[in-house]
Amino acid sequence: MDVRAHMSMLFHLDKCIGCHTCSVACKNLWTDRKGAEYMWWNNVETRPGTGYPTGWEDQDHYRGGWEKNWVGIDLKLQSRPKAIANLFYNPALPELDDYYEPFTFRYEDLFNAPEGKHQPTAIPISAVTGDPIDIEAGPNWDDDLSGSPIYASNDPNLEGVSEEVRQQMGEIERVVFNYLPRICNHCLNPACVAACPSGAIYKRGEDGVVLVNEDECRAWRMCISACPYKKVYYNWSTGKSEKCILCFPRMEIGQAPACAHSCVGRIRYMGVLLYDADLIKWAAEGPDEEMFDRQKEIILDPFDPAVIKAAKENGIDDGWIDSAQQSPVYKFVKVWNMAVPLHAEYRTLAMMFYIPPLSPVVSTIEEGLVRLDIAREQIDFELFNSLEKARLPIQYLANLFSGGNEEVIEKILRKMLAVRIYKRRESVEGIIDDATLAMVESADTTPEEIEAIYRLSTLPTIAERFVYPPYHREMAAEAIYGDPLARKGDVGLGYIMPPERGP
Amino acid sequence: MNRVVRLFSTAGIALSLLVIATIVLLPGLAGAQAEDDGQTVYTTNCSSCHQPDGLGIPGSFPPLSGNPNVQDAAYVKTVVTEGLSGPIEVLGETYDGVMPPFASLSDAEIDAVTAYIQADAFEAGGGDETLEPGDAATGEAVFLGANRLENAGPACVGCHTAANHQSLSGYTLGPDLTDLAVRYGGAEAVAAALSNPPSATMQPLFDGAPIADQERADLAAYFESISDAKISRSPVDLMLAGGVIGAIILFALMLLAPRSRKPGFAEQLRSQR
Repeated sequence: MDVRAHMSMLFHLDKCIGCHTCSVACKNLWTDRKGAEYMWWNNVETRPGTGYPTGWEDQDHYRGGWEKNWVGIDLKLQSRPKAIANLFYNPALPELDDYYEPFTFRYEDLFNAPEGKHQPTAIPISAVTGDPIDIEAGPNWDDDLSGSPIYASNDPNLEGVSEEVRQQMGEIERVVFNYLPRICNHCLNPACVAACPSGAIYKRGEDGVVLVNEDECRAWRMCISACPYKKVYYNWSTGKSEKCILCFPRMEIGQAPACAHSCVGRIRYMGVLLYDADLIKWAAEGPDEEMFDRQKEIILDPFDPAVIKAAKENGIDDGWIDSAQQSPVYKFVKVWNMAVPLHAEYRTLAMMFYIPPLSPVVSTIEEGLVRLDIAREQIDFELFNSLEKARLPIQYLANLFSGGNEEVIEKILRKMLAVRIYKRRESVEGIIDDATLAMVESADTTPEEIEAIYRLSTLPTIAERFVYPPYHREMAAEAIYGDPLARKGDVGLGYIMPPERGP
Repeated sequence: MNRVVRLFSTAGIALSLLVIATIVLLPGLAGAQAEDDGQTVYTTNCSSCHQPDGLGIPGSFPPLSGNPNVQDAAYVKTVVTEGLSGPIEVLGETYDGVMPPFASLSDAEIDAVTAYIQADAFEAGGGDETLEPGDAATGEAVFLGANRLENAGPACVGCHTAANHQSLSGYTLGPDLTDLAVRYGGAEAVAAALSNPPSATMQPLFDGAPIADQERADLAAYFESISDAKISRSPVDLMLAGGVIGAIILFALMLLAPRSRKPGFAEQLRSQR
């Protein structure tokens, strides 16, 4: 057993309101720079939709992630011999159009325009060239299913969803969508790391953050193709690749990443997970439908004395173990079995987890909106018992998260519904009847567990949502940076060490 | 894959370091050898043409021993730093060789060598160097590097062009050598000059790898045989024409390239509208 620690984030999608505050916080902190205008290390997508960059999940086009072959797994992008042969030829890259051409507006026209008959307007200009452009796309172009239906209807996750249900999902007054915030998944088996010809990308030992060493990066851009989530970006100005760094400088001083800290809906949780690095290969090579179960298997119980002993042997100190025991992510993922990674079938063992969203409260249980012939107190159970009729199809959510395994999603949704119905009965009706208790049992949970899930889902304090281990970075500061006060008084903007192109 | 690429890049870096070290260190070593000792300076820079005994080579390089002009230190300095060409008369004989400028010599070195020459205390003997008559065909092979130099020095064609070995078979780093024998005033002078190449660029290259006697004779014979050859076309023009034609072909190919480009995902999607 090779126990290591990982900082993981959990997204409670049932709480996400799609406000993009996380994206803006991240943009302001990290990517408000030349060459990084088009990058959104954190972005929020509307689902169904094609997301950002457009159609990133279509791996036949972008060739990201891993695929099984007769020996084990290999990058979908290329095998090793092919990587050498095609070192200068990588056509699987997203184009600027697949992201979007970053734009701003020529505001000075509002002040400088000569006097005329019409009100002057600020015309859109490209943030790259400065020339006037027609805006054709943006980082959330299909937000709330806006604009054209082509984006939603081309969502690769609709595969296997019947034509009839697809039609229903787009019908007026029955339209349904959910939000999907995405950051780098800081995978346990990262394809970007495996694809880099320069060895510039690495997974940090102490907390599993995947980072690009800008001094080593030689702009091969294999990471961009290989990452199935398209979360590595190429900075055209510095000639280096960049990606989400999980705000490690903030985590090291005990603050949540900017996206999590700024989250209005408080959907994000952060905590330590302990995992067994010896099992990564076994987990990554599993059959598609077992991917999620195997990934859960390699996440270890931080209360198990054997795990604690092995962790200490690996140099994980008491502070980290203690933090892992209080981790909200561990509770949701392993104790309550409520969270799934995004696209488990990519075999990268993504370490950011999602609680899938429940369908909107008013549900289409039969043909109409709400069946009027059943008693009000029965309506809840009706949905509970016929999840296959949920407005967000189970098949769709399974394609999105669990690699097509519907059973996993059904169990989670059933448990979430049980929490909702149980708490509604308790607070609105004031009584818990036998029917409710029977439902709780059939959802494979208990009233105590429901209470705990409810408290951590709806009423957590900031200290309960973000449980940070002591990094003790202050002790290493002198060794790493020399004089720790050298930058005191700086404004904190710009480069300390500008990236240089080439070797 | 990373390991293989790293291996390649490490080998590449090692190789380039080696090349850089060769380029940087060799002239440094040669420079370190140059001392203010007049005799050493003479042996290194002058004796190949003016001979160790200071008697020169008849018809090409005038003697320094007994030459009244060398008593004028200012004249010597001018000739050494600026070179000398065209026929001159010394002690009633006419000489028509070419002396390149020795810009790399320091003032102290020039003063030392001037004093050495003026003292007229040349080593006796050595001036009667007689070489076997060379073979022009062998000389051409040596020039082209087809016959390797005995002491592993670089082939002439690496830097020079001569006669019909132009452009793609010769290089233009050094001067064209077609009329070398004419400029130096005969095969004997060429052979003598090659025993210690006079230019600052060549010296470090041949410092540890002198051209063997027989090779010098062959090369001299070769240079004499081509001394009245006509250069048909300037190598620069040929390279320029080749470059322009190559560029046109490349641009033509590039024009064709976008037609087979696979449309991006967003492009395909928006074309559905």
